[in-house]
Amino acid sequence: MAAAGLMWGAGLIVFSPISCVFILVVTRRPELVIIAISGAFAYLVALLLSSALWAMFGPVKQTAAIMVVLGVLCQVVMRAVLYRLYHRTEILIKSANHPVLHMPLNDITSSLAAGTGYGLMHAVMIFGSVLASGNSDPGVLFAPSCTRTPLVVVLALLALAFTMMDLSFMALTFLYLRRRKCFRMGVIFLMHSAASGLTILNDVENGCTMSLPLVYVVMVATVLVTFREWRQLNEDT
Amino acid sequence: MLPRARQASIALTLLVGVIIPFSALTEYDGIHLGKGLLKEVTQAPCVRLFSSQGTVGCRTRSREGATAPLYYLSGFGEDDQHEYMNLEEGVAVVMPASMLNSTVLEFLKAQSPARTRGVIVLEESKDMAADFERDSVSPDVSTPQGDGTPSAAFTVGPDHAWNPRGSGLLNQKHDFPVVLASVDGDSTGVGAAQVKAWAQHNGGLRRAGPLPRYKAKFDFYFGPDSPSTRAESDLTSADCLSWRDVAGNPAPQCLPIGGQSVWGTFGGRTGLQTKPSVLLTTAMDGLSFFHERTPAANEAVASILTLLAATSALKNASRAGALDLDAAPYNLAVAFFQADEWGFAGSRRFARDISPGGVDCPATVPDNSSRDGSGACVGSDGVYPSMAFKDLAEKGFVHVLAVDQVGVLGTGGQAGSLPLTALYDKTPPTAVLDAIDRAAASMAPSQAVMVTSLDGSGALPPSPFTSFARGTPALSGAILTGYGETFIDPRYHSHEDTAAVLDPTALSSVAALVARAFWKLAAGPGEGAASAAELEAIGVEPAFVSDLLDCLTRDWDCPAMKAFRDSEISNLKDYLQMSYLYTPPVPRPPTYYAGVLAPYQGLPLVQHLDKSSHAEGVDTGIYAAWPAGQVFPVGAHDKAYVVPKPLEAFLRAWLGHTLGQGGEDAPVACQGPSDCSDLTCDAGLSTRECVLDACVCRTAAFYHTALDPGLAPLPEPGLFAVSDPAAPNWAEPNWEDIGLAVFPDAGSRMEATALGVGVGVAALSVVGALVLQRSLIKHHYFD
Repeated sequence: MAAAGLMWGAGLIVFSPISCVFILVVTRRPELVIIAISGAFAYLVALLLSSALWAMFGPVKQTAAIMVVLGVLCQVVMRAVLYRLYHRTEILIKSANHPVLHMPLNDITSSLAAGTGYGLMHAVMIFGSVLASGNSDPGVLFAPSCTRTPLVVVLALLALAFTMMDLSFMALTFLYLRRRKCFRMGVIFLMHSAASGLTILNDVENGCTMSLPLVYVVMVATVLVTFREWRQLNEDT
Repeated sequence: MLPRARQASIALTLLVGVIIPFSALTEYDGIHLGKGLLKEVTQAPCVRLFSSQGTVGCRTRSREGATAPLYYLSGFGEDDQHEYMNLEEGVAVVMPASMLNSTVLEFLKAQSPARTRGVIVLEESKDMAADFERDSVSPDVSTPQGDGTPSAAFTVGPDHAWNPRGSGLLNQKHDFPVVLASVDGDSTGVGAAQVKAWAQHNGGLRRAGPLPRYKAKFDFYFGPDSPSTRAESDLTSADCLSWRDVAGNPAPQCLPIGGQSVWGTFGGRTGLQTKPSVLLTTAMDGLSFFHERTPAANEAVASILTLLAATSALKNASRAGALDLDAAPYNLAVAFFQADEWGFAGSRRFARDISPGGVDCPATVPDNSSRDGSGACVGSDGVYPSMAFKDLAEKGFVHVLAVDQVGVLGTGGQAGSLPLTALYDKTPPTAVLDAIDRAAASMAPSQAVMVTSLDGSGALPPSPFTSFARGTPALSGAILTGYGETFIDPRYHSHEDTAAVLDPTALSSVAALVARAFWKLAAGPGEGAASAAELEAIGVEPAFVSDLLDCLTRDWDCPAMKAFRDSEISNLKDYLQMSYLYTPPVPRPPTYYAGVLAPYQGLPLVQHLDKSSHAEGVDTGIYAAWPAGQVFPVGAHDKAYVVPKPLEAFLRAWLGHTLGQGGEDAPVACQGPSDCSDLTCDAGLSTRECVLDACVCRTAAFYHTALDPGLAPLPEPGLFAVSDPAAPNWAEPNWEDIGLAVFPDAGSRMEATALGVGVGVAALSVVGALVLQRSLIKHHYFD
């Protein structure tokens, strides 16, 4: 196994935030666990869609920027689809008007749960194979994009940023679509594209020195926007 | 179970179910999933070997091997040594082959295990011209198989420094692995150039050095330091061969070094039985610090080629009617002795076996079950598939001419002539020296050879003749060599003893001289024996030498050798009535290290079939020997056989085809042995074989076990007992997986940093999640 400390450290970086949210928040209600699993599935479908587009459009394969935009678009759409499914379920349950069965959920906890599942699956996809390879190989992989930092650490930091953004994007999706402010989905699209587009800098040797800090800037901005929007909501209500 | 726990367990199970498929993709080298970062290095190791006196060679002391970062040692000046001694961690030293000498290794050994965890020697270009001005690279001691070695008691003049420039590395014990990284990598591993690049990338292993740091992983565990019963003593071959497992069952951890010597006779068994013989002989194995890289071009190949060319020349002259071999007073016999570098194992056993009472043979397999009609023997000395050596014992040897290191010749000859030396001990072997002189005189000016006679004055260089001379001090014999009082080849017993040092033209001349001298010896004393015309009719074809030289030095799978080897195995399978038979693989590149003696690797066996069960084809046992004092229950269907190693198979088949009845003399076409039943053999019960599509009687070439007479096989194949603790008794340990691999590493600082950051993030995550949870509860989002 590659340096155990390295593997454990990277694993903790990636999975501890999302796992803590899952264990301490999501598991409080079984419905939230179901929503989290749905969120994970939604990410996989978004990934499938992106792959299909990549396979279909030959020339597009050569242009990373275009594929980034298409991939982000698929994810934005899938988040919206997930919200739609959640909303329809909500309507069905409420319309049943059952004396015992009621909808104990709310948008904040539901969006957190969906975002947790979505982010966890996103982290596994970014990071899982590299982490697994480290368990059977004593070698540590270094990439030209970051010659002084093991790839597993670079990907862990990247995955951490994107899982935090996934939580925020899902919360914003629920918020905007509940308020029927569909055009504000463009904000999510722009922020996600910015973060994903910054990863293209990794094509350059030692590009991680630029891409990682900038991605974290976008992440912080995303989280701040999310908090501001939800606070605005509370004040309005 | 609490509801929350149930929910969590279901969710985690589903999550794990998604992650597990990724675990199956367990290797990733940055480009390919399924390919790891651990890169094997194509190399030849120095391995640990055991003798009756202890251990030599190299090893890792731990079963887990040794892992250390690569450190390039480009020189051995004071600054280099100072920098090395200031290293703060153990390293795998990477150095060019030109630095491999006892001085450097002693320095590294003194720094072991604190700093020196292993040594990787970078092989340099294989094609190096002979250069007598070059410093010696010979790793052997100055007294090969003499003083300071386990073979000293079996050498004539053990204190003579035949190899004065030898470093003695071969006779030392190193508690760290030393490997030779090959010049060229192959499909299984990287080569020396890549290893050097990685080591140079690591720089001086400074604290803030470049990442990644490349580390070497050595896996060369060859057993503990000492036997459990003698904690302060070194492990010997006796300990290793008699090893027992925890239940007390025999579980030997090594095998003796040995194989099958090959010998042949021009007159067949009839010749052996009717008149004394003259023997032309050489050792067929070589030695090197890196055993799998033993090209032994001058040490073994030159001598083997000389004998083969001489044999071919004599047979051709005989077929052409220039020589009457049957009329000669002495029979001609040729012998290649295996494992002679290891205490003269092959020649000592042969000399012992042909002496009166040499072999314990209380039971013989019937003649009609032996392959050459001479019967086979099963006793406490092992299984002897052929007893033809007893024919040789009856009349014995009259003269012996040995050949040693005739590939590299000095510059002391007269202008245009090749200088050779005929070495003897004390009493000049008049007949042998006269034969050599007559042969030299008969050589054409273009093949002029000048032979100087030299009295060893109580010393003989290591060669098979040593074993016969010790047993019969008055035996007439000499060793024809390319050196004089001391060896002149600086590459003696080195992995650099490559084909580049050999000149096919010169070897042709030497082989012609040897053939003519051999004929003169067989023809008897006197001016009338072996006329000038007869001598001049004996010629060596240069193409024969150059073609075979290429095969013997570059690729044993060349058509010339492969065809003979395939015939040998095919005939053996036919004899055993088997459609499949395991045979030892052909080493690439060719190595003349003798290797171990094991079942299906040179160890003779008897397949004992109970007659009542023969119909069912049930083997009742396969044995390698029978206890002393007991008579082996010979069955009518018993078969005694040996599966030879590749070189042994080639030599026996070649000799059999060249010297045997039938073959090129009276070709009867065949595709298999069953096509040869009409061939009449002098020894009527002899097996008929199909070699190179021609039928041959198996009456002219034989195997003989090359195993130190200090060891004896036990009935169970693979077990050996020590019968003479004072004998060298060399053995090689068993191993499962050994090798060297290199992988990139992040270093301990990066590891600690990553772990620290991870723990910090985890702590913050717990705090953050708790705050989030309480906030949600406070605002009634969980109501």
